[in-house]
Order: sequence, then C-alpha cells, then structure tokens
Amino acid sequence: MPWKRYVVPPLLILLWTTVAYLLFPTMEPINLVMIYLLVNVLIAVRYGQGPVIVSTLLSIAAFDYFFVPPNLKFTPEDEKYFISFVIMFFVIILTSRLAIKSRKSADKAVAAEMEAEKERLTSALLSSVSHDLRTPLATIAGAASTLVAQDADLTGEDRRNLQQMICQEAERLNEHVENLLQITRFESGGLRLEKDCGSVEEIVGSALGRLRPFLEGRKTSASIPDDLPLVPFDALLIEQALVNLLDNVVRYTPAGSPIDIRAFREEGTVVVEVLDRGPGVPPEDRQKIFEKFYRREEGAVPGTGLGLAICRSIVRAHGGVIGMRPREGGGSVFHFSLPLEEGGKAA
Amino acid sequence: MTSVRSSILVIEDDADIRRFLKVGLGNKGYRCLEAFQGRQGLTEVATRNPDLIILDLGLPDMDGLELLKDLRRWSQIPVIVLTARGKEKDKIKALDLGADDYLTKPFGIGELLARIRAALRHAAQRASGRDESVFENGALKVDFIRRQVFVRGSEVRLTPMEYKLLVHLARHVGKVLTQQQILKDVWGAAYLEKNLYLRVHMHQLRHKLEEDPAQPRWLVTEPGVGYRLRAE
Repeated sequence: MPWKRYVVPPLLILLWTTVAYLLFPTMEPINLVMIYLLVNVLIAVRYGQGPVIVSTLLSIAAFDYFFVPPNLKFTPEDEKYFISFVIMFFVIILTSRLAIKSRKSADKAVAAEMEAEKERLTSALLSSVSHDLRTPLATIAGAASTLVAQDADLTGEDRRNLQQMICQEAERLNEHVENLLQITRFESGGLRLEKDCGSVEEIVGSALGRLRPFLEGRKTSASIPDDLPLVPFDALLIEQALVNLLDNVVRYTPAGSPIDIRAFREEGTVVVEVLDRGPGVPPEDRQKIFEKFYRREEGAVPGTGLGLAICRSIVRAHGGVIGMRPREGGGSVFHFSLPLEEGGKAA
Repeated sequence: MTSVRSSILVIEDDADIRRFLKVGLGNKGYRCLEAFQGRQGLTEVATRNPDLIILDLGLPDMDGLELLKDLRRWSQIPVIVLTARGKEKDKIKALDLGADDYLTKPFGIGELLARIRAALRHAAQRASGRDESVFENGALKVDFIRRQVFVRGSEVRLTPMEYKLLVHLARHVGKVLTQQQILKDVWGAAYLEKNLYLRVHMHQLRHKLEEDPAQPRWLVTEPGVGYRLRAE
C-alpha cells in the first residue's frame, strides 16, 4: 500500500526518539545521531527516496528539540548546531541514496541470474530432448526398417535381436518422456500432493516389484522394523522417488551387485535408505547429482539426468531432505527423510 | 483354452494400437472385434455379445468412464481399461464403476494377456454360480469350508478380520481392488474413510503370510489405487 511508505518511516523515527529520550537521556549526542542515521538508511532501503527525505527532516527536528540544549526547544544555544544539522541532513541523504542504488543493482543481479538459469534450463532441456530422445528413436527406426526391408535375408537370431532392440529402446523412450513431463509439471508448480497415511513397507514392496525385470541376478534385501509408523505421504510420488533412486543404483553399479533398503524412525521423521556396493560418488558430485540434467561421465550411462532431480522435488515437497554419503566398506547410501507430522514445508 | 474361441471387443480410437492388438490377440486364439468410437462400441456389445472388452478411456466421441457406467446398467461383461500414466483417479473411478482391471499405456502384450486370462476366469466363475471350496495359489491355500489358511503346507492363524480380508482378495485373485471397494465389502459402508484400518490389517496379513513382507509374492500394493492378490 503506497500510503504506508509515508506513514511507517515517521512512526519509526518517533519510536526511536521516544525510546532514546526515556531510556538513554545521558547518551552522547554523536551516538544518537549515528542511530538516527542507521534508521534512515534502513528506511531508504525499504521505502525509497521520497520517504527518507521526510524522515530525515523529522529526525533533525526531533534531535534538535529533544537532545540539543536547551532541551524541549527548537532554537539551540549554540548557533554552530545549525551547521551540524545541515551536515547531518546531507550525510543521511547521501548515504541513503547509495544504499538505494546498491540495493537496486543487487535486485537486478538476482533477476539476471534467474534469467540466465532459465535459459540454461531451456537449452539443457532442448539438448536432452534432441539427444536422449533421438538416440532410441534412431535405433527403433533402424531396427524396424531392417526387419521390414530385409526380412527374407535375416536369420532367426538376427530377427530376434532386432525385435528386442525395438522393445528395449521403446521402453527407454517412454521413460524419457515420462521424466520430462514430470519435471515440467513440477517446475510449473503443478505438483499437488495427495497425502494419506502410507506404509513405507508397501511402497518398498511395490517399487521393487516394478523394477523386478531390472533387478535380475541381484540380491535385494529390505530391513524395515515391524513397528515403523505410517507416514503421511503421497504414495504414488514416494513410490516414484524410490523407483528413481533404485533405477539410478541399477544403472551405476555393476550387474549382480547387491542392493539393500533400510527404513527407520529418527527424530520425528522416517528415513529411507538405499545402499549399494557400487563405485561410489566423488565428494564434489554428491550434491550435484540431485540437480537437473547433471550427469556424471556424460554419455557413459544412458539417462536423462532427471531421475534424481525428480526424487529431490518429491521429497522436498513432502518437507523432507534427500542426500547421499559413502557407505562403509565401499559403495553409496542414498537417503531421504519424511516428516511424521503433517505440515512439513509446503511445495 | 476353451474349445470355443473367446471374442474380445477392442474399443480404441488409435488404429495402430487396434492393429497390434488384433495380431497379438489373434495369435493367442482370441477373436478380435474392433470399434473406434464409444457409441459404435456399445452397439457392438449389444449385437455381437463379446466375452470381454478392452476399453480405452480417451475416446473421441464420449468419455470412456461414461461408457462404462452405461454398459454396467445392462451388462456384466468383463472390462479391461486402458489409461495413461499418472491418471490414478481415472483408474480408481473405472474400477469403482465396475471395470475388472486396468493397464497403463504403453503396455506389453504379455501383460495384457495375463489380465485377460484373469478376467475371463473370474467371469466364468461368476457365471457358473458356484464358489470353489478351496483356493490354491502357488504355496498359498485357503480352505473356505474349514476356514483354514496354509502357506507351504503349514497352517497360519489369522484373526477373523484378517481372514475375511484374505478371502475377499482370494475371491478376486489377480484383480486390483480399490481401497474403497475393500473397505466397503469387508468392513461395511460405514468404514469408507478408514484407510488406516485397511493399511494395518494388510500389514498384519502380509507379515503372517509372506516370507519377506517388504518383497511380497502375493499381497501386492498398487500405490494410490489399491491392492491385488497376485495370481501364480
């Protein structure tokens, strides 16, 4: 509200004057002036040029009336005080102008930073779309056209190989599209949680069930205490987060290495951990892997660089925290927490 | 397979998906009928009386859920619904309106065939009008007459509520039941909001029956939708 800009600053000055007059009657005038200066600079930063001129004049008048001898009179004993008042006025106004200016340029820098981030995202999105979607498409088109054009010349084994390639790549394509759609939904604020009391054990069971074909040959264990409380969460999204975490482990650890899942209660939250025996993640990457489009060893392992970013969005929307740390004896621990009480930080 | 070929009506507007279903179902001995719109689909059901319907929820001329509601007024033909990912509400609505199962696009033919077999089996059971006296699913056995439950030959003690829940799931083996459906049929209409009861009893049942309750063989959760007793 615009009128507030001219009402609040004088009130602040009056407030400070009252406090100073009642509580610090013996304070040195120079200290009082410094505090007037400070209050006015804050006013300048918060309310801008016009209000600060008004409040500066008011400050000088109040200082004169209450603290310059003789007290409770506007005309000072010593005429040199008039020079002090003029200097005080210019010091406050100049300082305030500088403060306003530097605040404006800071705002501009933040806006520019956000703009740059947006552009980075868009270009990352485009390169992700063009590369990661085209690669499986190229394989599908190539394999399918071979099947169509050279059917008579293919051995049974060739044919089966090509067919399998098509199935596999189609699934990869589907996964990319799902990830892209989901992250776009999250970014545009379309993430609405459907919370219900949920069982971590059930979610672990269904996530492992969904990934069963990719867990072939791996030992999976889940240790979840019998008395783990139910957690208020969106079952579908938390399952998605867990599937993404597990999927990431499957991609980045050697085939056949074990995967363990643990859940336990800790200080008003339930913590879920996924533990692997893979090569681990270097310290400088441990935060970055949860960022959008961040991928270690670009191209070495197929993926969109979105899976873990989606995990993080989901966990944060529930008011929880996600992270990773090295595992004792080799490997990594991915962990996320979910608050037990309703009313964790909203999305 | 039965000696008479079962016929399946596919109501789906996408020609490519119809084509792939026709090949995939035909190879497994089903007769495939096709409709590319809702109204045409309803006419086909009335005139050709198929054994099962595969219904895409996103039809151009009418809402698939509306079609289902219409259909259920006069027919109990098993229906498998096709939906897009993330439309959990639609899945629940379709199941509550009487669909027998759902499949999320894109899906593989193997999955679809498994759902079709389960749905046809239920329909046959319903039509015969008599319930089996014993339910056997792999190493899980329920004796409905003696009210006994066995896992790998040894008896498992259940509370009356757990038993009731298991029987309900067993009678619909292979089919997803929504939370609401289970609460209504096992606990009663006054318990529709008591998701917590259901969670707790499922938890207990899983811990009594499953070797590893966190990696269940039989009592599987469909997050955001409901539960299914997996057929073996």
